[in-house]
Amino acid sequence: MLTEIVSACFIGALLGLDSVSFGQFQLSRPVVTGAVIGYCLGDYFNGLLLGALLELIWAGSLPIGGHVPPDVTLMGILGVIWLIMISKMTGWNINALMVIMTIIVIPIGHAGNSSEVWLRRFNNRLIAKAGNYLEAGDFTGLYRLKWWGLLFNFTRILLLLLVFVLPVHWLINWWGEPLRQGGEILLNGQLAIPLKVYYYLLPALGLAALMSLFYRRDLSLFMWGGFIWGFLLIWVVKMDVLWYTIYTLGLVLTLVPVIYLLVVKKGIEWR
Amino acid sequence: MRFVERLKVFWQSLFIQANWNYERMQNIGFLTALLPALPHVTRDSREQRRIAGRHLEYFNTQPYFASFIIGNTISQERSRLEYGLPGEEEIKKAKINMMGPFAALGDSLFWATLKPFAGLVAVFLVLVYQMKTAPLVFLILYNVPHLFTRWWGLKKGYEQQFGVIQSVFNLRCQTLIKILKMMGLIILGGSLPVFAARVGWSIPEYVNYHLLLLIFTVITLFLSLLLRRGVSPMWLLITLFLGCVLIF
Repeated sequence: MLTEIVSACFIGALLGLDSVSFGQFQLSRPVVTGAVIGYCLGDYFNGLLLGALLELIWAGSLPIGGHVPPDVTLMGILGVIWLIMISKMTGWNINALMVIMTIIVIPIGHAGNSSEVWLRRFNNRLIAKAGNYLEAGDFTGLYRLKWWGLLFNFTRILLLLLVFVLPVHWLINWWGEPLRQGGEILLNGQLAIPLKVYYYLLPALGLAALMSLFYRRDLSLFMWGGFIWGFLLIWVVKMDVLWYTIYTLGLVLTLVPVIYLLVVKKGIEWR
Repeated sequence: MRFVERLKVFWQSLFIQANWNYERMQNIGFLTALLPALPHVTRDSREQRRIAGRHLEYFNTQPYFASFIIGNTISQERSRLEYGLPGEEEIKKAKINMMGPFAALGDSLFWATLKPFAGLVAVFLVLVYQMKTAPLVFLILYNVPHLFTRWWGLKKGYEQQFGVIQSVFNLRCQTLIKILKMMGLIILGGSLPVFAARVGWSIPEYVNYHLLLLIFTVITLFLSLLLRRGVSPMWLLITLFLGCVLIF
């Protein structure tokens, strides 16, 4: 298990580079990292599920003004590693654990932010180095600098992951049995119903976060239109979820390029 | 600029934030992206060094829209050496003048609209239909416009030296933002009954399903209102958790 966990940390650190250092292909978003890390640790679907929950909750959070949201990349990677590692080692209820993870990873996200601030300050030194390479006419040195940047960021993410993952692994190894029993009593007993209710309310918070981001008074009709569409198909017609997904996303994803091309063809800017 | 040179610049531009620093932000990344095109601008190595030295200055914009500025700078530097115009100061000013508006446009199109939209589609597929390939859908939805912007930006920035702003305007980004928001709102509205139904499937028969839908919708709208008023999602998450533990 330890080898798998350390490998997952390495892969997580590699994926984490995407958020700032390389490409920004969004390979570092929780919905992607959750699936990849889940696959590495042998539980693809639960990894994807936690990733999707974190994506939903934090997708609407943007660094605007003084508000800096926690580092979603680190939260996604660490949350999934913890989830699968703890559930496999202790046998705790994975659904209950998943719900707890959405809360526990928040401070880690803030730790990720602080370390990134430190890294950006550290990178200031590279400007002088770039100047020296320029003076010497060494363009290869300049190209090399980006690999150093990548290496520093990779080390930062990897160290953070290892610092938070390995002690938990050792803790469970040492006190495995009492932890397993205590957790089972708590998660399947007193906390079972609150965690279930919280699990069902989580999407409400995620949807609310995205609503607050997308909502405009002049577009509110579209939201209520979608609501009535969903209500009719799911609650009245009792349509199968598969067909509902196909109809809804098929309609929406076709309309985006069609309306866009029509408006662009007319040559107007539609604000 | 030849295809191979553009490809090299494109590759280097993917690292524009690799040395992101507080003092001059993306300056090293911007310079590194210019380097493969310098032989195209001039064969004189001393001149190449002079040009590179001028572009180690402060630079910061949205990484995808930086392509327009990179292409434009290469084109202007070449034009300066060939025809003597624009001057060094003009090139610097043009760069500075483009950074801000492109950053604002790129942030609102990619970070604030396309990323949450693609995320919403993927989450919808996972939570509603439990689709295992949802991350792939997310990556395709996001990266087709992303890679197009980077590649096309480089091309247009280079070709349309003074018309680059017009090229960006022709993309009708505001229109795209509005359409994505409209469609995002349809998915959001359509998600409410499904998620409420998920709650309904696991509760006893005697509970009124319609009341459940109403409660779920009201909670979502109330939370949305709080978020719009500036309450942090982190505090709402913690309050929701503690509320559930204390009440149930």
